[in-house]
Amino acid sequence: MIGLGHFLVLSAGLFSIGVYGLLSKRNAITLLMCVELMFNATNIALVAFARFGYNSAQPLAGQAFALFIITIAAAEVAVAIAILLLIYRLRGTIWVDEIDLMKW
Amino acid sequence: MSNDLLFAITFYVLAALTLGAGLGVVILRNVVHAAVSLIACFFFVAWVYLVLSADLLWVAQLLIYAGAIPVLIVFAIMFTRRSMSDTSNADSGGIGLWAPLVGAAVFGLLLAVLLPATWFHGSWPNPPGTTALIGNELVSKYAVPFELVSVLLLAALIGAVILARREDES
Amino acid sequence: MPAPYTLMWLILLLPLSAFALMFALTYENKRTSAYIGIIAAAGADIVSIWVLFAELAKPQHWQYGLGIFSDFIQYADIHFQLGILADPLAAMMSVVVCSVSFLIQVYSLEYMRGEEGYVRYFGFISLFTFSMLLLVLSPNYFQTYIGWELVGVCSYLLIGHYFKRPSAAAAAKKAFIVTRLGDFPFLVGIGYIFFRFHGHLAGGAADLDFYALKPLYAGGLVGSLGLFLMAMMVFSGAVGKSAQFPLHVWLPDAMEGPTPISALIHAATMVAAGVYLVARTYDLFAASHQALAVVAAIGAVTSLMAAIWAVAQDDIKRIVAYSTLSHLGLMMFGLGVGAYSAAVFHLFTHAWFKALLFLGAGSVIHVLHTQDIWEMGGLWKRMRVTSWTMLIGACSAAGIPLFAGFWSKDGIMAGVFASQNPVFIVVAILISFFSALYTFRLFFVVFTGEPAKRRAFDPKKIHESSSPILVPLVVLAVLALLIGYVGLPGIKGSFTQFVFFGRNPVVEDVNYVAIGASVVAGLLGLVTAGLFYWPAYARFSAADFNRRFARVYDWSHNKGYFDEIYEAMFVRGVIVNLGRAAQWFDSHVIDGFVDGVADGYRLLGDRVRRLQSGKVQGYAVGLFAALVAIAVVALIFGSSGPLALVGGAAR
Repeated sequence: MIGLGHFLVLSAGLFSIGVYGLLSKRNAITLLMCVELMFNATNIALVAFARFGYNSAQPLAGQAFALFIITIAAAEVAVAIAILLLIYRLRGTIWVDEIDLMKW
Repeated sequence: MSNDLLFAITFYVLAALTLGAGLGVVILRNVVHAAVSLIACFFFVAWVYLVLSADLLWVAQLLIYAGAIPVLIVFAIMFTRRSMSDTSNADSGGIGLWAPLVGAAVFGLLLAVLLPATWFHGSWPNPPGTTALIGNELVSKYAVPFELVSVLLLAALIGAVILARREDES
Repeated sequence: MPAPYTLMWLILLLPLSAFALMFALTYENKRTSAYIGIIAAAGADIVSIWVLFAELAKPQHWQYGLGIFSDFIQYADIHFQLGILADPLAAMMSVVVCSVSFLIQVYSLEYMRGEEGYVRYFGFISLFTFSMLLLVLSPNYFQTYIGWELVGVCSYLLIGHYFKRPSAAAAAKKAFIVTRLGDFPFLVGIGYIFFRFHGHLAGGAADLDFYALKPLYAGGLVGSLGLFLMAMMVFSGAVGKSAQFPLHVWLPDAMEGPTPISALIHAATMVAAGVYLVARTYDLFAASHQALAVVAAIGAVTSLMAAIWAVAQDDIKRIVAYSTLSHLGLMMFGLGVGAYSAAVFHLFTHAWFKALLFLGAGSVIHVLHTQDIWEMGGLWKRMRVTSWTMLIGACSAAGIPLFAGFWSKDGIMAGVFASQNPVFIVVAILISFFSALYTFRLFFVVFTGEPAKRRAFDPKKIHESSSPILVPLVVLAVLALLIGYVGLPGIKGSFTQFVFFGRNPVVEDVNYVAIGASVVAGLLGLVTAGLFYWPAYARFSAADFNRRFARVYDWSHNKGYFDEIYEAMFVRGVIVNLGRAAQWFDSHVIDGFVDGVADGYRLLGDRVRRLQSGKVQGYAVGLFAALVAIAVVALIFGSSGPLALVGGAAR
């Protein structure tokens, strides 16, 4: 029987993949894509909870939450890419291991 | 085959595809390929929403995630290339084993929390149609967040434009 | 408490303040500093003399604690006190110390003029005077030990006055270490006495109080072996400080210090501390006749050997140093055979004539710039005052009748004869012979005859020394001549009736045999010296004699080879190796530890530095790893662990 747990494990797995990619990749755009993966993983979890935990007091709260997340993620991607372009213009690179100004 | 079995097979295939596409983002050497893999992943996630009877959401997912965002990403790739062949998606140096280790640790942690839970094998309640319900919720219970999100979108819009414009333009 | 006794704290305070003042305020000003020291010594002397006269008028015993020091250490039933003791013995010693200190400081005004470390010299003399008085006026073993150690330190500082000279630095070290060898058993002995008699002291006296302990020694609390050990341990301190055999080796080397210091410390006072200690604690020794036998034996051996060695020395100061050794040995000998009053009286007279001899030697050295007696000679005509005073000192030292030294030595002789021990008697007679011999050898070689041919100094430039040097000499000479009369045996009111052991003074009969034997031996020594060394009357040649008896001469000249023996046995064998081990430990273990700590920090810093690479992903790794770690901790400990701190519920 497929239950809530299965979906949550799927979510966890996708999230972990996103974490791995976030920590190991060089290209800033890849990092962005991994962040998107993590968002989606979270959304899956939320929607699954909404589906399995349906009650009349808080109907589909998870889905509403997921909708908001989608919206905000979109905005965030836009701003992130703008920043990325700026960095590219100033530094000439988008390799994150070459942008090491956050020290001292 | 029984319904349950069919459903289970479907689920596992879907899960495999989703995870595989996610992995593809990380593993593929070419960042454009990775972006395509990302789009595929978004599609599969939309399918998961469908399975979970989230009607509005799977549509929104397709529209936004599988539509708008990849466009942005591809534009970003194009604008930040030093040359036509500069599309690498390599690992960054110096991280070594830390990344997979921490990733695995996160996964393990989550599993450790999820697996022993009693609701793991839950039952499927019968929800009503969701779209109208969500719409209702958005303008009643979640009206304030709704408005705030629109403000946020406005801010993001303006911010992105300001950040990304060229300096020599007026 | 009548008048002088209440002022006795001044005796301690004046020299101490002089020391402090000199070092704190007037270090740059030489004249002022010297005068401060002299005035302080004079002031202490005045109070001491006042006390002495009070004691002479009516011998009594007073003691009191010094203000806040009355309860210096008071814990549970342990009570240590610092205070003042006044009785005939203490009063006498205090006068000796203050007077000699005063005289040599006056002498030093001229003698040390132009020398380096002038103020340091006077400062340490004042400190020494204070320390010696602390010791002499001490009412208990505790304070005595404090003073004991302090005089040891001052001796080190003063012997090593010319510390830039390696030989002086070595001599100071040697003095300190050798006396330490005696001091440590002394300390153990004090501890032993404390433990055995603690709690039995009458009337709330402080622990280790001399007068309180007097009746307890023979009272049966401690067995004869215990008493013997106690006495021996206390005596070992005396052996060290008074340079008795086998710890005598430091005294001749101590001549590296300035001559007035030799006069003060190594003739009149510090070395007398050992004799004083035995006298002060005589009840303990009287309770163990084996201990007295040891004291007598060591005293006799020291005295005789030193006298024999003095005959073959060529350095004027060394001869006087060995003379001191011999006389100290004689005092111990006297104490050991029971001649308490005589021995203490000899301590008294010896202070004066020995100081005189040293200061006279200093006068000669000051003018001739040499210490080798074979470079002297013929000074009789040219340095009148010095010559006369030295003659008086020599006669007193040799025990020539009617001089001071005679009266005191005679008392010891009587005691030796009374012991009826043939070995002791023979040794005593030999000591008398050799004492006269070396003393007059010194006198004849230095003062008679013609000025020596080989010397760097023009004979015509020999002149008498100036007054600051001569006045103390004259004063001491008068004392060396006359002071003996206070000790006439058998006469009421004499020294022996003033300072004595036991309840009542012993009025001895005059022992004419003893006097006769010692006088004859002494005169024989004088004549022998004259026959060898007085050019006008010499019959024999010293050089021939030394050649014929070369082995004996060498043994004597080399002071019995004790220095070489000790050097081989202890210094090379033990101390050098200890030094090497300590050095290894220091450079490997201690430095290793310190360097290791430093290295550890450097490595740590190196590693930690890498955490802040500036690379975002590094930080992200840290973030997630920390998240996982915290979550794991929260899971393991459930609601009782850290999760409870944030109000979380069990899962």
